[in-house]
Amino acid sequence: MRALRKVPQYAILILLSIVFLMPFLWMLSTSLKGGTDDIFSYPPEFIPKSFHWENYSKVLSMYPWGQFLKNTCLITFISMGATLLSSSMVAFAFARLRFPGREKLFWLVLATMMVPYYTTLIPQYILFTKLGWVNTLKPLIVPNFFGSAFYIFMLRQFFMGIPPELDDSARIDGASTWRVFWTIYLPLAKPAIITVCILQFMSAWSDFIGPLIYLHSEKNYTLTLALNTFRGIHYTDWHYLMAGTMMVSLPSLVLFFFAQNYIIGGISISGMK
Amino acid sequence: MRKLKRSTREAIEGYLFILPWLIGLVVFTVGPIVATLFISCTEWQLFGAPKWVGLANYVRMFNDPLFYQSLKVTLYYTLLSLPLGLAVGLALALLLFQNVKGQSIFRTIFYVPSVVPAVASATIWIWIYNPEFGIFNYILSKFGITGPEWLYSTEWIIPAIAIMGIWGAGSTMVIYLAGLQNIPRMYWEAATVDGASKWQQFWKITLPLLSPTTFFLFVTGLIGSLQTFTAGYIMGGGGGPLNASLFYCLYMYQQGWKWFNMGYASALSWVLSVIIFVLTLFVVKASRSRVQYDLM
Amino acid sequence: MKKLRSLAIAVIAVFLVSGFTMGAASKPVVLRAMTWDSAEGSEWARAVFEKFEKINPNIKIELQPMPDGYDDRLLTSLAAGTPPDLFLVWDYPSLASRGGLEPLDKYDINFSGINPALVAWNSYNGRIYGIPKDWTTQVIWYNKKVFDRYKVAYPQTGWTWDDFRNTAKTLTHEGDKVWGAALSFGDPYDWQNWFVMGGGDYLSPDGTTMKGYFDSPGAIKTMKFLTDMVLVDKVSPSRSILSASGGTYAMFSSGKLGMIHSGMWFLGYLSSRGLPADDYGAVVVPSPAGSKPVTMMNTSGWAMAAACKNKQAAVEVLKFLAEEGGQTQGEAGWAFPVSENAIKATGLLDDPNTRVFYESLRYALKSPGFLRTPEYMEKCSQYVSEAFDLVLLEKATPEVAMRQAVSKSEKAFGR
Repeated sequence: MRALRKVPQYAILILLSIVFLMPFLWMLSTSLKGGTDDIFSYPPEFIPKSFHWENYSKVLSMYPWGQFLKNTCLITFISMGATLLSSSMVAFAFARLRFPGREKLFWLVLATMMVPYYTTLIPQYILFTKLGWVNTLKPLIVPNFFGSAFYIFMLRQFFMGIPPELDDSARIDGASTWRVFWTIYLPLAKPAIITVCILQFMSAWSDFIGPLIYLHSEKNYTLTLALNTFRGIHYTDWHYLMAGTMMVSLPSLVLFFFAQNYIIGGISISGMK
Repeated sequence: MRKLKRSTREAIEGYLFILPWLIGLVVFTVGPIVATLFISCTEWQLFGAPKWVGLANYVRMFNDPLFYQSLKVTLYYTLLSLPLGLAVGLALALLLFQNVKGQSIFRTIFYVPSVVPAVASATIWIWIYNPEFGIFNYILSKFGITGPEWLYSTEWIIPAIAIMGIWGAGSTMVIYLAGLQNIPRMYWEAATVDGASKWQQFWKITLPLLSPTTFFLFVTGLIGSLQTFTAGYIMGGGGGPLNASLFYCLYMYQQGWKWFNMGYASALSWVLSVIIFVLTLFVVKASRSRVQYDLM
Repeated sequence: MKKLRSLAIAVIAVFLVSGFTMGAASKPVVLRAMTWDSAEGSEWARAVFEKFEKINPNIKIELQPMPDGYDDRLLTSLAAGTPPDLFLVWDYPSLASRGGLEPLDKYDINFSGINPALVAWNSYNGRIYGIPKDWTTQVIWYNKKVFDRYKVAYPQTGWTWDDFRNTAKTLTHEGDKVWGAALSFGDPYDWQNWFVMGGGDYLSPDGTTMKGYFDSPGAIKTMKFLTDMVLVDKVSPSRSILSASGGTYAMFSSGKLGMIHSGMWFLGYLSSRGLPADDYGAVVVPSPAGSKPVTMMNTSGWAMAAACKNKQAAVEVLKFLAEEGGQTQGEAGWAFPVSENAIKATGLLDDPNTRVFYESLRYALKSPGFLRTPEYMEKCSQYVSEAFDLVLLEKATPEVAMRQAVSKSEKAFGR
């Protein structure tokens, strides 16, 4: 009886899965097609006439991908750790500490999200030019050490959901504020922390505009930036582009697959008492 | 050392904790933002010196039909995509929060579109929406309905792009999953013991305790969708048929980066920021009573 | 101990200083060159620069291809005063009128080997701003197999608009999913020559107004002719079908289109997919009965920023490029070289198809719209686009749509 009740649930899940997997399947099949294949036929052919696995090796031979991988990893991992630490600190203060002007400052945090990216692009670029950071990885890494409004907001929400009684009892035991933050709040917000990691990884890994503007020499390129040079003006070599895209997108998926269990399997609050 | 008053100490600690953000604000953010405010009061063609024109750009805006058009497009899109995105994200999270065999795989599958680059997604959607051969119209034709022109129709392009936004539901789903995880299981357990149905549990426990997450997603979703750029850029390619998909930020980009009217583009940007701020303020005030961080 | 430490410091200092001076003495100047071709498409650029570096070992050129986001990257760096030293430009007025480009005619560069029409298209307001890198005219490509299938005679030079229309109609067979010609009018750029042939134009020669040109009887006649072929004769696949089928070239090369209006890029498409070029023919564009054809051209060139920090070195490269005349690229078969000698050397004139491009050159539009005013995109082109959209969506007749475009343009000019 139990299993039968699950059937509609499974049916929905499988149906949705097909819908959600379509772009990925198209990418995969395109990456295996030959250069003369009809990439865009109607309806799309999801199964290539012949499997051109060599597309992958061809793409790998076109560029120093190892260098790009190194650059991308540097940017992604450092920014991930940096933004995690800084954003959670700031979020904790907004959630739990009382200081004058807290409301107004939080509105300021929100307000920084309300300025469209393209507007501040040129002044920021000029700023970084004056700092001499153009054509280095610095503009893409350093700002993350100072918190990101989006994550600050998100972590604040999670922190506010943690019962305040917990830090009271810790303080009675003589813990400093930093101790409370580090040993109580961070571990309890593990689902949120992991989420920040996943989202930041994704965002940094696939960032295009930032690298486009700031990284000029090929030796500094990131994976996503290099991938975009496969697009031509009059036509694009879709099979190579998709093969490259498959390879570049895989780490994000793998990370998600493993990290999601930490979101769900994190410590639940009821266990703390 | 003289013992400081508790509140003073907390105040100092507060500032110390937000110091990273404050420094970043001053060094990286304030300068460029103030610069754009200044630029908005000038005529600047990207090279040479900006020329001060006061509020001329703002005056120009109120007489610009494309300003209103792009605002309309963006608001319409937000109206459609925001609730849809939240609902789908929540539904997926709920579906996958319960113990389903293979849930890890399903969750990853639903997250896949977020990882797939816009190019691949756009290609698939252009196929799905194709008036002659796409799936949507094919299914509709089975019911005897002639489907619309979708991306080539001025009336349907925005709903089409909004529906496309479902695929971005992956990150919404993840955040909702984290939010669900934060709810103490004992609440549901106690409710089941008390005989409450799943539906009742959803309305009385899950949804209220998810309200901090929903609030966050709604506010950031609002701020984000009003600044939509990529979707319009890829699908409409320059504003769509008769500017039916001329998103505000796309128009701003066009003005500044294609036609070199940087001053006007900056002015457009400020007006948008103000609109976003006002709307967010409204949403926050309205949610005051509805967001609860605790069931008690 | 102290003595040892100061000795160590001294030694290190000497190394550093000598390292710097040694570097300064033998360090070559490194120039950054940006192109908008894809990685594969930039191979020719690498080849040319390698040739240059062999002759000038003191100058190294770092190539930066960036097809997607080229403008964004270029404009940001120009605005901040740190542009690449050399980059490709086609829309000279936008950058030159705002002081972004360095005029090249004041340097000792030899333009004599280059076709003057090309130099004119790489200039603005009487000053030369770019070394033409290549060019192509736009012709009518026809798919011989499609013509053979429906037993239609191949088009000949000197054919008229009516011939074109009738040919397209005869080739269209909806049941077979074959269309006569691809007419989607996505980019007004590609169609300006037709309006000029018809007796009108997009805007005035001095670029100050569309009035009297885009709403002239000749222009309206042209718009009607072009759009009737789509709306009345139905010889063209719709935009949605074109995009769903992978674009014009894909449909054309798979036998679903009889004719397309395009340039030499099609050959690049064929060669990258290993398809034979013999199945296709090229012919000069048709003209209204009794008039001469006018062809559209596409050309771009290498320019130098006014804010360039390595002008001397960059000029050396530009001189070389002007002399080389695009021969390296021409050898790759993608576009025509710019100097007569290079053209002859590549043998492109021997092929009957590519020869047509060269023949079309003498009918090239004297001055394209975008070169007449820096405000062309904002105050003209977008309204031309809108007019096409209105007519194709059947929301207005050509006359109404074009009059509306003109009045919007007048308003944009402040009148």
